[in-house]
Amino acid sequence: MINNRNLIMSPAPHLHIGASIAGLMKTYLIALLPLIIFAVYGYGWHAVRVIALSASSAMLWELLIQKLFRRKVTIYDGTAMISGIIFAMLLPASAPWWLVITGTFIAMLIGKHIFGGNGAHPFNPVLIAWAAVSISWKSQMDLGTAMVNYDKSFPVDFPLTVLKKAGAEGLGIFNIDVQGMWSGKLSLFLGNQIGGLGTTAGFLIIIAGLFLILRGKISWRIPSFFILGVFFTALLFRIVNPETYADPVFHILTGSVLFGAVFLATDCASSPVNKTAMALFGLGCGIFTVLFRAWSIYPDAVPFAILIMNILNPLLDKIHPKIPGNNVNVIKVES
Amino acid sequence: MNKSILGIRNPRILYSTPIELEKKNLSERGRVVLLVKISADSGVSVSIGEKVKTGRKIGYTENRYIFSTITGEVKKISRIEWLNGINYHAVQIERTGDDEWETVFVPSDENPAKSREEILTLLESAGYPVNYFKSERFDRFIINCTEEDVLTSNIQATILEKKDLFTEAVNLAGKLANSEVIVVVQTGFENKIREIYKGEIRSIKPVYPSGMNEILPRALNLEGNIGIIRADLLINMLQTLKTGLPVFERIVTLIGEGNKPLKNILVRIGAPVSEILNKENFEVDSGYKIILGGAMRGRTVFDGDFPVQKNASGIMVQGKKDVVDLTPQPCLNCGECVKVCPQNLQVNMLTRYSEFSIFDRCKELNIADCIECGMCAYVCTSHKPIVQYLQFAKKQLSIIEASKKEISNDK
Repeated sequence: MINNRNLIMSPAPHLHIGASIAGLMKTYLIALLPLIIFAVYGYGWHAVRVIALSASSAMLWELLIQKLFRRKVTIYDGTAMISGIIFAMLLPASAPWWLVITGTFIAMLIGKHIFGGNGAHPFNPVLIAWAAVSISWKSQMDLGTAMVNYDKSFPVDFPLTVLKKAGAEGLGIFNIDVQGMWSGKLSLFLGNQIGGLGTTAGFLIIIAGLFLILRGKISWRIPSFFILGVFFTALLFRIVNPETYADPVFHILTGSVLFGAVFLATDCASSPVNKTAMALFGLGCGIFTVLFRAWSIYPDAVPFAILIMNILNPLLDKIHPKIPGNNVNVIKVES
Repeated sequence: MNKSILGIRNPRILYSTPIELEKKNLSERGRVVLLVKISADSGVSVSIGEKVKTGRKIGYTENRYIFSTITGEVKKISRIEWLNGINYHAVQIERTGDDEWETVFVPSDENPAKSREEILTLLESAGYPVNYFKSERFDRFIINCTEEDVLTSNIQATILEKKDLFTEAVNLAGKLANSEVIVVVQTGFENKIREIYKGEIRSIKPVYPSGMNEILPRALNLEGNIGIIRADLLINMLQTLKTGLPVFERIVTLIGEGNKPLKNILVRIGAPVSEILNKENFEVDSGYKIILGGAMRGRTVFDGDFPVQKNASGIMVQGKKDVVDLTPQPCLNCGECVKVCPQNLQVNMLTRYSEFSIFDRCKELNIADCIECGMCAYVCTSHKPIVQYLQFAKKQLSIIEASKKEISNDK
């Protein structure tokens, strides 16, 4: 029986791989899950409070803003939730509730919806929020002082603040002397350091990054070149003055370099899509990170470095491959 | 489809391998609708009520003739609009009995050593596109034996069906093109083709869209002026030369619900899709999709009365579950489309420029090089109808070009 009425019309192709924005965000959630568990393991209810508040308030702000702007409500696809979780990962466990809520508001309004919502934002919304709150409320966001009341098996000083104040010679408290000892670095790699909620456990972030790369959700180029950029720039500083500047591996393991490389720099809308451009983007992020760490007042400036590179993103994407096959003239004989 | 669990490798779709050909004559009874494109130089040369034989000239458009594909009576001549906005005269012929043949020219099988010019004249009179053979000089000539689309296997089925003609057809191509001929098949089909043809064969990976005419020469690292023809068209040409009859039937792939290729069938050109589907006991309800062609490049029809065209590769029916959700969400700039584009186009930017009608930027980004393979829309995370956006921009650019020309002519 052929019913000729109400047939569906659509343009080709008539197949789809099955990818969707919600699916992409689910993959991100799976990748973030180990980091969330590690944060909860480390800081207990403090971590649960910050992460849950951040994710839920981000969704709520998005709902309110979209209602207010009379746009289609898209909180179901999970982009706001992932933004909220990633923002929480950058905060200290001691972050007060109003800071979290203000941060997600800035992320959703100024970071995202002012520019037109999903995919239209020139900067990573999370970084806009981080920059705004860390400039506005320095004492609450200062990882060096925010966590001094916590009882931990490792030193409760933020490694990069120590580096800023005492130079490479002051890193002895982390079992790292000027020559650079490996046991201390291993301890840092395993997450025994003060930092943002999700940025400390290097090994988990690397696993999450590999998972995202293997699933094809992010390109390997941006994270790898980010880390390479940090390594070589830090190496240059180290060669010039080993007393003041820490060694490259220390730079990679502390602060939010690994987290930034995997979750922040790879944000779809504000990172390039072409291969060369991605490599340059990652490299730029890495170089600016070390420059800021060495010469700015901020101990860890990964978010600022990525924000700077976000500005360059449209320019970088002008570097794209040529259309192949200029030396062939194809003459099709078709009926 | 072929979707790897790990995402390191780019997503890809494989071409089908040939499936069974059912030799049932579907148009024992029934009708055909033949389309004559309306243009400045076109016309229909039959009238209502006229009895026509198979092979009778019924119209012409731009020096190409259109022939009747069944024996019967002309019932109706109307005007219809095809999907891309082109208008056609639709000549409906209803079958009255068995086929009676009316040849375009008297075939001379006894004298195969005809000159190239004579062969071209004969082919032109039977409605084949031969002007390229007349005007172009080829460095190499490719006979493309790969499929036109995914899920279809009609080209390979045609070759297997017309086994004994294949070598002769390749020789014919060599003679017409006056150059070296390369037969290109997809991996997996080489053994079968080696049994019937002994010349130079090259194989490509059966990954869509590498078999498309536009990019196949590049996959083989060829340079210069490359002519390319599909094997089915070439075999039709040879058959016409042998019988004097224009092409009147074609093998197409039937693809059923669940995107499953069912079988290849032989249909008369011009047979309405709904009749074919009825005879094959298909269930089509509202909310279904009927597609003329394959899964990646076929066109949907809004009316089952649309006829099978002479370049059709398949007839596809999608149930409610198979229909792709095309509710476009904003582009995330994830870059999947850029990753899969065989032409290295900046698809993400092109789509946005087209969406916001910035067509000159589209031109700067070489939109003319798009081959409309559909891979970008296949992988799109945001379910955007990217191919449609690109076609729209191309169309608008051509309109702009035409109006510019007009203005400069007026001056």
